[in-house]
Amino acid sequence: MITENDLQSRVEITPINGSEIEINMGPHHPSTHGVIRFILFLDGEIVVRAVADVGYLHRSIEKIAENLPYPMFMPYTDRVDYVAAINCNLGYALAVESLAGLEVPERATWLRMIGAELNRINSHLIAVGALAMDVGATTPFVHAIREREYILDLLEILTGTRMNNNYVRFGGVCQDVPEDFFKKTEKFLDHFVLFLGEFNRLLTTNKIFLERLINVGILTGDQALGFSFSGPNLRASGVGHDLRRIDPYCFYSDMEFSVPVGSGVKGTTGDSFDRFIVRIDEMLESVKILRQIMSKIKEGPIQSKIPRKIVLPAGESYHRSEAPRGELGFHIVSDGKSNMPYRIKIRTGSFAAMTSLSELFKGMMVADVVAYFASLDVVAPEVDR
Amino acid sequence: MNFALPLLEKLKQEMTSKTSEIIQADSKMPILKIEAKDIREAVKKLHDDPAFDMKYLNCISGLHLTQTKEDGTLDLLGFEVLYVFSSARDFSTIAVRVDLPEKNPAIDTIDDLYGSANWFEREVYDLLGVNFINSSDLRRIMLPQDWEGHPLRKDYKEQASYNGMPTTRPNEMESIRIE
Amino acid sequence: MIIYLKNIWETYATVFEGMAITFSYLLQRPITVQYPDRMKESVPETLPEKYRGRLMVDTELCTACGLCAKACPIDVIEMKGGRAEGKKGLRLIYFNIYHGKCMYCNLCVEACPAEDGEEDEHHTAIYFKKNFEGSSYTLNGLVEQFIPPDEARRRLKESEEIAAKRAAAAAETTKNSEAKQESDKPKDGGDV
Ligand code: SF4
Ligand code: SF4
Repeated sequence: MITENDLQSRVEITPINGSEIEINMGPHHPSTHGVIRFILFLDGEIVVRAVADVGYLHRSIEKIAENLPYPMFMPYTDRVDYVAAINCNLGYALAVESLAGLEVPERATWLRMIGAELNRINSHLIAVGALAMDVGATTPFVHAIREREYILDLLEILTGTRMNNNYVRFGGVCQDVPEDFFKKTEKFLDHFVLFLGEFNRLLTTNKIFLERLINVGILTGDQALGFSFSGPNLRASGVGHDLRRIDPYCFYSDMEFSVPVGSGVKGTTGDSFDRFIVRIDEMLESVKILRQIMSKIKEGPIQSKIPRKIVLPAGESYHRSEAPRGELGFHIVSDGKSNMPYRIKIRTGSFAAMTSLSELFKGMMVADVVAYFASLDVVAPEVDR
Repeated sequence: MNFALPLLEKLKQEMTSKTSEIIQADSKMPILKIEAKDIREAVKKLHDDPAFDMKYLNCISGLHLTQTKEDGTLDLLGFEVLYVFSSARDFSTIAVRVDLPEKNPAIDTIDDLYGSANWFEREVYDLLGVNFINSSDLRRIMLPQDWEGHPLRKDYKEQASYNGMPTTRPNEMESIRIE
Repeated sequence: MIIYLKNIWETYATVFEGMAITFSYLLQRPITVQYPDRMKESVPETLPEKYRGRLMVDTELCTACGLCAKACPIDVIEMKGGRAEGKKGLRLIYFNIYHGKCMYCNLCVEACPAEDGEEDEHHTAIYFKKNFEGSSYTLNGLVEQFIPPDEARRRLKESEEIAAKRAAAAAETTKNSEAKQESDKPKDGGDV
């Protein structure tokens, strides 16, 4: 966090001349999606310079990890990204399982994928809804939240909780689902596809909405790679980087789905509208994946036998998986003796997306700052951890 | 995992100093261990050489290397900084590791090559106290600027209060203990 | 000029399209419900079977093994077991749960070995009720004592007495056995 003195001494600031004003956006600002603060230096309505300031939600999850046995850290991974908790659970479980060599029964893997994909839709709904609200359209947000409510109901049956599910366990999942869950999910998916059509009519064709997003915050593929973007943000810039494809885990290699990439449908490739539309398309892909899972899932055990005390072999590894906000990497170091990790570093998509802000904000209008930032779908706890 | 061993061997061969070595070669993630002074050469090669084309920086991570002695005290052995890069072409991934001494750990920055490196470096600096030489903007990122110490060091002691605010809070369970 | 007019036309057309959708909702039944007074059935009844509501302990079922307290990542559970008169095994002395800290992660429930065999309401000794309304005016009000303090004190005393008695008895037997050992020693080398 930055105090005024630090700003003066550490960031090179040309003294504010008559035409330049400094404003604080955040930490409590409706469009910063959590507690993130920007210090914007404006000339009229143009941003001359911007400093992003994070850390207000730092809960030292990585330090906590060093003091807990591996299974006990699972609930904390929920809190890395509470909008997509199962994806974070899954990333962590996969990392530890691949190091410890644990088996996962087939049904458990399917259930994990169901949880992850439902969570992905859930997360993207929040993303597009919040984006709409940030550029001034309040109604679509309410619609998105309503759909999300149905997903939360499904997750409630699947996991027992609505958010922070703590669903995945090493070698399986924590509970089986009743049979009628699949029927309900099927029904929801049918409804959801119709809803997306309606959502598009409501929002995606809306001229005002389009004007706010098209050609705003353009990031070319090279730039996006340079800023370590991942997930939908990177794909929107035309790079077909999807870890479910290039580094498949679970049964994603058997699934048929396409990886939507931004192509500048309305404006330039990599603008804010591309980031929006890629998320909409991705929800449809998730629906496809969910349908395939539902046709393939069979009865079976949901938990394999795992040792009571999990000790990973000495060494380090970096394991990544595709969370809704991009690459979720777990750098796990073990000393080979204790049942606690020596170090866990969590690399998240939002953190990488934040790195671009100071650069990109330069020369933007304040209103575009909001639109660009919302289109990145940054979730503050994921930045700070 | 598609961590690419051949690329690592190629990088090892092309380095001018021959002190680098590949560790964990038979595991899922082979790592090239290089010396701190070679980091810019290696990363420049990775970034610019079309044979590597590593335009994507996945992550910079760091950790404090320690060893617990028999009497329970810690032997501080220095720091490790781990870089993970991906190729922009086929997304094959490699990891490069640098070990730094315990006293004044410092390494050259790479933030002129990668736009995101600055924030990753700032995080390592903030939580571990590793200095990145010539960095464009090396400030704390998660913690307040006047925080004492670097929390992810293994010998870190939390300060009891920060600007008059206590850093711990009373345990509600204490009031009802019967023992 | 034409572009200008076209833009205006497009804006109005798309806005009215959105308005049409919004108005269509005026004619539908709202999907929100008034909570809690206008629900047909109480909310906990509508929840799925394994809903994680408020944490509960069945003090009769619990064998005071302490596994739940050990499995909890944040020390939400404080419990202690002790001997009781006329009962085999351990009995709970106290069992406190600090709901304000609990993160409903289910790890303690999964660790619990004591299960209730009943078919319809099958649960472990520590389990989640479906009740989710647990707010309190003070932080302290979130600490729940499943054994009332007076009872807990009585049980603690009882168990201490029993322990003391047993220790005395054990000391007696060791003395005896030592004496026996002494006498046994010459015969078989004394390694009992
Ligand atoms: S649910 Fe989790 S946090 Fe709560 S008492 Fe059980 S183990 Fe502890
Ligand atoms: S794990 Fe179950 S039986 Fe053991 S102390 Fe906890 S509630 Fe009681």
